[in-house]
Amino acid sequence: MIPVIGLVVGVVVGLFTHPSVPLWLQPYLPIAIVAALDAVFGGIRALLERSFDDKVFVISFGTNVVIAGLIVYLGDQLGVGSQLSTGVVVVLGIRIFTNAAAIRRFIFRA
Amino acid sequence: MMMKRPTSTQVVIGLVLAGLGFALATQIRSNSSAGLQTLPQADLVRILDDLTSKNSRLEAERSSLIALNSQIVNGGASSQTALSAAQSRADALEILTGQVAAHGPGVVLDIYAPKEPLPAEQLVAAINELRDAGAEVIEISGIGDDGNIAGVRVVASTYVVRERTPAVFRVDGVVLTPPFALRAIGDGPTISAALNIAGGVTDQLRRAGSRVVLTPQSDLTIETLARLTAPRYAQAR
Repeated sequence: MIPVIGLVVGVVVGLFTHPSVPLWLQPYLPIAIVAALDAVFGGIRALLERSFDDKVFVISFGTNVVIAGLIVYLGDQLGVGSQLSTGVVVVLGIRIFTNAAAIRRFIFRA
Repeated sequence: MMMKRPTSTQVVIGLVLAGLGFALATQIRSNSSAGLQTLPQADLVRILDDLTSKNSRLEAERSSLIALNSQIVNGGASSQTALSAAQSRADALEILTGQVAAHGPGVVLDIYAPKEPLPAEQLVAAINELRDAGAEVIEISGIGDDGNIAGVRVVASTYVVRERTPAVFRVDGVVLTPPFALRAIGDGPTISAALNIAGGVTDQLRRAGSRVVLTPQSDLTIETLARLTAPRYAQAR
């Protein structure tokens, strides 16, 4: 329950404070969010499989975000930033779909 | 298990997810509010290139359309002038060829029955004198075949032939007997002076035994029209 409340609070704060994204963060924020979403879906799946571990979740969340940002940074330095971002988004998207499918099977048994 | 007293790890997870939600909302906001700001440089360069090439293409199209427009405007003006010039030419030619009725100042020359046969040359000379004096429209009338007054519009192709009967003429195929009347539109004083010159047309007619009366008119209307015949030999080139 607390994670859901945290998510809602974060969204509401973000909507009402109108923060502007700092320039240096602009290329990384979208990728970081997708990576975080991947971690969240993985966490939900683990929760449903009763193998959820708080520490694993937090660490996977953090490393996902950091690695995604690093990959994009590296890509930017190599001059293939946009392509690598696309690749990361595709891979994370596939993972999210896989996790979502597992979650769907748990919830609907189908 | 979720409703138990929150442990520290649960609070951490909540905070992490709050951060995620915050980032999510921020990113969505900035993405939807800013259009070009969030695009990478390569995309911006591509968009700029697209716009530049599109701009130059539209510029070329604009200049060609401007040229076309001025061409059309000029063409319209010149065709308007050509049309009005052709119209005034047509008006002049219609009067010259006797295709329209005309009116204006002029003179009437009445030639009453001569005692002696009137030679055709004298009638032709009278017509020529009228033309010399600048008459623009000439009509000759007399007593026609049926006893009524018949008129003939004198144009370039008009001919005068004397019939076998004395003092009877055929003008453009119309038989006319005296008295004749020559009606001419033109400058009245000039025509009068030309006809009245000593040894001139009226003088000779009088000497031949005709009675001649010359009356200037301030507004003379000539309504007889010449028959327009298509030329058989001459072709416009």
